[in-house]
Amino acid sequence: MNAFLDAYGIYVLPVYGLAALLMGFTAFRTWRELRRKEDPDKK
Amino acid sequence: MHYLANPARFVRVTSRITPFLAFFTPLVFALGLYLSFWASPPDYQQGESVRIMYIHVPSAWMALSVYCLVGLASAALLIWRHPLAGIAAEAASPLGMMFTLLALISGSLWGKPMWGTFWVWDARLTSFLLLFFLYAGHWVLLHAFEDRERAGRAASALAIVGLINVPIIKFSVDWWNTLHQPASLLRWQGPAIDPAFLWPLGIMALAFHLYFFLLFFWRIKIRLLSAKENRVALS
Repeated sequence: MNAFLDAYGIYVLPVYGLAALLMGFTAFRTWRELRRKEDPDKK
Repeated sequence: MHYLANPARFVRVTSRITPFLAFFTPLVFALGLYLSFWASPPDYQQGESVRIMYIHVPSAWMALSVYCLVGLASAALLIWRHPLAGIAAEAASPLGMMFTLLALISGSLWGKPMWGTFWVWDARLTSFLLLFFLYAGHWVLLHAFEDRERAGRAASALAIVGLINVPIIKFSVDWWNTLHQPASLLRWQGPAIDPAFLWPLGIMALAFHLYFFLLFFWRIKIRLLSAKENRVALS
């Protein structure tokens, strides 16, 4: 773990983490909203 | 383009495309991440920090190209008053804002180890921050009026005026003295970076494009279904 952190530093991992969070959360919310609209019984 | 301007036809066509996009987007992202982290070498000057490029550059490209799409859709709304154009602009805008935010933060986190600072008020960074405010202004105007038609017109006017910022962002590094480096990919002489870095960048850029179109089509469909719901509720 330490070797991994040493290699990718304190700047690389936060960038990938933020990208995953932002894009993943947006995709999930959009998908959930679409499912609710397509099938209102699933609310 | 006119063929897809019919909302029902648009939904029919995109409903066939979205399952493929939903299948391939995570796969291309997985390949891109593998290439970015394990299959590409560290840079001889930047070291491992170069890997920030595989997020920063595609998100900056998406931020700019999505804004062009919002601007063009807004122009189509104002000129032809086609409701699907307004819906497309409304669907794309928050995604573009997300990419702009990601480009700004990733750029800032790349700037610290490379330049020694998170932020400078140079032309590229400032014009890119302005792009974020343009997206935010577009979103605010869309929600500022109860009359949706009026809100769409006001937001469209802002989006069209804001298009002037796109060439300013692109050429800011050539027109002014900036801490941000000049273009190293999209230039007449061809890319200035090694293919070992180009491949992961290309695959990540493809993944970002697939992701955008998937969510863009989903968001348009949500808007169209909401409009249908409202019509049913009113009748």
